[in-house]
Amino acid sequence: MTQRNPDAAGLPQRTVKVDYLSRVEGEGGLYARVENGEVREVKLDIFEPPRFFEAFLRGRHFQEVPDITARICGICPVAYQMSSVHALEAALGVSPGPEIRQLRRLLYCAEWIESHALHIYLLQAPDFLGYDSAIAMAADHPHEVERALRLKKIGNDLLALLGGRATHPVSVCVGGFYKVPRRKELEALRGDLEWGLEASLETVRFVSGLAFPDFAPNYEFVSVSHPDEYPMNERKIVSSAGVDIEPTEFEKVFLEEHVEHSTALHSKRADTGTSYFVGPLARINLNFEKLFPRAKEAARATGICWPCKNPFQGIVVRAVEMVHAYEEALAIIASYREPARSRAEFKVHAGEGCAATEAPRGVLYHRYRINDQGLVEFAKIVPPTAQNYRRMEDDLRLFLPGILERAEPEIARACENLIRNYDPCISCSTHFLKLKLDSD
Amino acid sequence: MAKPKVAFYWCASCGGCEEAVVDLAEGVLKVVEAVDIVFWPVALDFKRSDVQAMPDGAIDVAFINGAIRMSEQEAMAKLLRKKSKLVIAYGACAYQGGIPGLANLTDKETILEYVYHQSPSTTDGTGVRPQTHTTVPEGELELPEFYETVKTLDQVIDVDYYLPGCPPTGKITFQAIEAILAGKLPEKGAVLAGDRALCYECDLNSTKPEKLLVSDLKRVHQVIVDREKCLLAQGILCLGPVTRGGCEAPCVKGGMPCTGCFGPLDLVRDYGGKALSAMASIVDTTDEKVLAKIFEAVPDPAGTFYRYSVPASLLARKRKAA
Repeated sequence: MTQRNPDAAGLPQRTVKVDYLSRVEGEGGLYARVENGEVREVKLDIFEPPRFFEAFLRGRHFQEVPDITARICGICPVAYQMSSVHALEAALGVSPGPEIRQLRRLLYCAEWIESHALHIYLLQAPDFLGYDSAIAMAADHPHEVERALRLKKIGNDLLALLGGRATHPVSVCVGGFYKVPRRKELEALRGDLEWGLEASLETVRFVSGLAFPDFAPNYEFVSVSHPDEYPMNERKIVSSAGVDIEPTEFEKVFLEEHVEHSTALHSKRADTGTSYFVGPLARINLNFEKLFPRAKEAARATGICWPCKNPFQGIVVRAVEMVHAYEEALAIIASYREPARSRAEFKVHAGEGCAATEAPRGVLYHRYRINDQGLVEFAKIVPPTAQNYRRMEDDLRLFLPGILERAEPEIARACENLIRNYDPCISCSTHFLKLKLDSD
Repeated sequence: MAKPKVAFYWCASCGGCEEAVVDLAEGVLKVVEAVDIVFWPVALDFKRSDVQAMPDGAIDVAFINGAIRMSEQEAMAKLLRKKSKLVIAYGACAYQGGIPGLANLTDKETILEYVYHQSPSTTDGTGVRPQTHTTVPEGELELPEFYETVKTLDQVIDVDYYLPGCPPTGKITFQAIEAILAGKLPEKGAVLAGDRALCYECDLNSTKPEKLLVSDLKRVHQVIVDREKCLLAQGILCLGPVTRGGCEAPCVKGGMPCTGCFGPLDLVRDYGGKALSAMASIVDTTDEKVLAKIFEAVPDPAGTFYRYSVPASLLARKRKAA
C-alpha cells in the first residue's frame, strides 16, 4: 500500500506499508521512515495476540507445564516441552539417564526435520523462486513440493512415535517420558529416515543454487553449546562476541525490554544494549565442527565460506541442519536400547531452575519457581523470535538504503523476504507484523 | 462447476491448527487441487485488503482457528463472516476457548501488570506497556486492544460448524472437507466428529470394568502406568468418558490420559462440570473427609477439568469480587 503525506516541511513523503506479513508463523507488520535516503527509524509492529502463558502458568502443577507450554507453538511444541522439562528438572535436582537424554535428542531431531522442511520449501523457497506461495510453486516444481511434504511427514511420524502425536506430543514429562518406544518400532522408520537423509542432501544442493542478495551484517551470534554435540538440549550459552555462560546467568547477560509499538518484548545485550542473532545461522557458525560428518561435508560443498554472515543463506543452513537431524536420528536409532525405566524418580520440593535449549528458530530460555506442593509460582519464557526482533529491525536499517531505488511493492517484498530469513515464530514470541515505509 | 473458495485464518493460536492442515501431507495437495484457497496468511501472500475487496459471500468456507483475545481477532472474524457462506470454528481454541482461555481465570489488569511490570525479568523499569496508539513523526501506529476476557469464536460471530481438537486430527479435517465438497453437511451447529465418547474408540476400553469405582485418584506422573489396562480403572484421571471421540485416542496410546481437547458431547452444556461430576461419581466413598483427601490429587481443578473450555463454560471467567 502506498500513501503520500506531506511532512512537516511540506515535502512529499512516501509510505510503503505491508499491513500483514504472510508466510511467517504469526501476525505482525513493519514500519520504517527514510529521510534523504537515510533510514531514520524502523519498527516491527507485532500485533499477534499475546496469550500470556507466563501469567496463567502460575498455580498450575509442574507436570502440566510441558503439556501447556507445548501450546505456545504448534510448529515447535517439542522445544517448549524440552526447555520446560529441563528447567523444572534443574529446579527439582532430577537428572534423567543417558538413554532418556538420547531419546530427547531424537525427539528434537524430529521437530527440527518437520520445522525446517516446512520453512525451507513451503515458506521461504517461494521468495527465491519468485512465487507468492508454495501452492503457486507446486505447479512448476512439483517434485520439490512433494519432497518437502514427505520430508516433513517423516519428521511427524517420528514425533508421533515418540510423543504419541505429531502436534503437541504428550509423552514428555519431568524426569523422562511417560512412554518410550520399542526398538522395533524405531527400526520400522529406518527406511524412511534413510530416504530423508538423501532427500535432505538433495535439498542442500537445491537451496545452495539459489541466488542470494549480497548482505552480511556484523552480527553477534548466540547459541547453546555443548562440548561434544551439535547444540540441542544443553548446556552453556555462548556468543561470537565471547559470551560463555551457564543458563543461570542468562538473565544477567540478556534483557527483555517493553516497547509501545509491539505486544512482544524485545531482547538485547544487557551491557551494550545491542541486538543479537539466534537461530540456525548462529548455531552453525558457533558449532560447525560438531555437525555430523555428512552434514559437515554437505555444508563445505555448498561453496559458502563458513562462518557465514548472510542471513539469506539461512535457508542453506536449515537444509544442512536437516541432514544433521536425519543423520543423528539414524545414529540414535542404531544404538538404541530401551531404558529400564522411562522416567527418573524424584521427590517434589520447592525449587527454582532454568534451562536453554535450541528450538528450530534458536535459543529458547525458560525459568520456573515451584512451591513445595509442586505448583508453579512463576514462569519466565524467552522465545527465540523475541530475541531476534531487535536484530530484525537492525537488519532492515542496513538493508533498506540499498534497495530504495526500487518500486515500492518490490521494497515491501524485499523487506518481507529479509524478515522471513529469521523464520519468525510470532505466535511464540507473543505476541503480528506490518510493513510501513515512510520516505521522502 | 467452479472450485469452492476456501479461507484459513488464525486468531489467538499457536499455529498447530495450520500444521494440522499442512500435515494432511499428500492429502493437502488433493485439497489444494479441489479448492481455491483465497486467504491463508501462513502460506499465501494475500493480505487483509484482498479479503476486504471481495464481494460479500464470495468465500464458500472459512476455517477460523484460535481464540478471540484482542479487537483484531474480532474484526477479522467479522470480516470473514461477512465474506463467507460457511464459517467453521476449527480447533479447541475457536470452539471452546482452548489453552489461551485459561487466562480467564484471572483478568486483564492482573495479567498486564504481571507480564509487563511484575514479572521477574522486568528490569528496564520504564513501565512501558504496549499502546493501542504510538505517535511517530509521520502519524500514528496502531496496535489492537486487549480484551478483558478471552472469547470463543461463536461468542463474536455466527458459526456454522465446529471441528474440535488441539489440534483437530488430519482424519476429521479431511472428512469435513470431503463432506463440504460433496455438499453432505449435517444440520447447522454440528460438531463434525461424531457423538460418541472417546472410551468407545480407545484400545483399552475392553479392560474398563462395567461399574467403575476407584478408592484413589492419581495423576499420570505419580504412577507407573499399566499400558494394558484402562487408565481410569487404575485410578488415573482420564477424561475419556466425558470427551467427544473422533481422535482415535492417540494420547492414551502415547501413555497419557485424555485431557479433554475434543470437548463435550452434543448434549453437554458445560464440559468441565460434566468432567468433574463424572470423576466424583466413580470415587468409592461418601465420606467427606476421604473425598477431600482423594481430591487433593487434583490441586488445580479449573486447569484440569476446564483446560480447553473456560471461555465456553457457564462461568466463562473469574468473577470480580463484589
